[in-house]
Amino acid sequence: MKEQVFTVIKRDRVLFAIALILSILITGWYLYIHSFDLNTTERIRQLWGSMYQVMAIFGCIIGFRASKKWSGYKSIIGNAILFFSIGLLLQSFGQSVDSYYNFFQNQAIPYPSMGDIGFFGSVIAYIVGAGYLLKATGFQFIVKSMRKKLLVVIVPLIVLISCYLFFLQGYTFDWSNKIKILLDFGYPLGQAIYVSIALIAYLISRNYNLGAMKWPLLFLLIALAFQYFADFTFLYQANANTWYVGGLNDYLYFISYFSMTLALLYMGGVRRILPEL
Amino acid sequence: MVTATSIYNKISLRIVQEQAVIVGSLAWEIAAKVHGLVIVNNEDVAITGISKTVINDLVIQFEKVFGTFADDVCKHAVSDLLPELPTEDIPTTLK
Repeated sequence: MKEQVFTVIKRDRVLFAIALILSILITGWYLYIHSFDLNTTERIRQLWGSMYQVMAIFGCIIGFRASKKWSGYKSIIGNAILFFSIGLLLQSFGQSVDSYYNFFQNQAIPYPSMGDIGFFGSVIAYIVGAGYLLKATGFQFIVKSMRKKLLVVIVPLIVLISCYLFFLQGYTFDWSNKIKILLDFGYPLGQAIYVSIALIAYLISRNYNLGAMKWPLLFLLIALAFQYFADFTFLYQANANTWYVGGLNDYLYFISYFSMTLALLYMGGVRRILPEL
Repeated sequence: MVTATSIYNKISLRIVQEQAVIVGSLAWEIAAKVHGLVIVNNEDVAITGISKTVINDLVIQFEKVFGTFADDVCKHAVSDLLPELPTEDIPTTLK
């Protein structure tokens, strides 16, 4: 595994270096902003909040490039990478719309807004990508024993029930705004679906020999877990009215874009070395 | 009449095509490394070596990339073709 990681990083060292430098700059800026009193930094936090999506855009370009190497929509792995890249692009679209309200209009982000096309669209893209990833980890061949079939039922059930208890218990329906209801349910349930698929993929394939593809696929699953952690934190903070622009949750989103970028970069790099095995 | 050679050709083509569904053109690149297997325009294959050995080598090459998963994909891909061969002629990697 170590040898594979070193070879991939060595061959794509320029792109890995760009991702790393971007992450250091954005993290440094975040820490600098947070060394001041929160009430005095609103404009600069808004600016930071509108800038860190550069990592999502970089990751998306890297992902499209990697997907093409894996034959794009013509292969299962190419499709998985393609949909994760589309997810990043949609996240970036949502971030841009939010930033427009925040930074240029200097007003609170309306909900629902155009940005939700990006954010909700990214949830759908991640579900589709996770589905392809599940296929790429040999789901169809492994899930034969009763224990594993049970896992496929139990994992999503636990995640969906937890998500309901956390975010939707006691929900008050306002039928005058049907899109809001759709999004209020769609975000936590959609996120629960993609993380369930990722968890199933990990749990059923962890003892299955995936050869040289084990670590590249695992990196994508880890990146998806980071994305879920950021999404979960956003919903939690938004429900508790503790979310603010340029705060910890935005930084978690940045980390999730960074980890997805690294995973996509790795997938593209590993494609180059596999024919040499 | 279906000859053993044409069944072996079908088996090797099916294996590469099924692997290509998962990994795309990489499957053809991997197949091209197998001695005794000729790749035609990334859409067809022709066995020029000893058929059983070529198919065994092909499966082993895919195993290097995708481990047991590749093995399972290969076996599943050709499960309907194997009964056309006498048991002793079935490549060991597909048994």
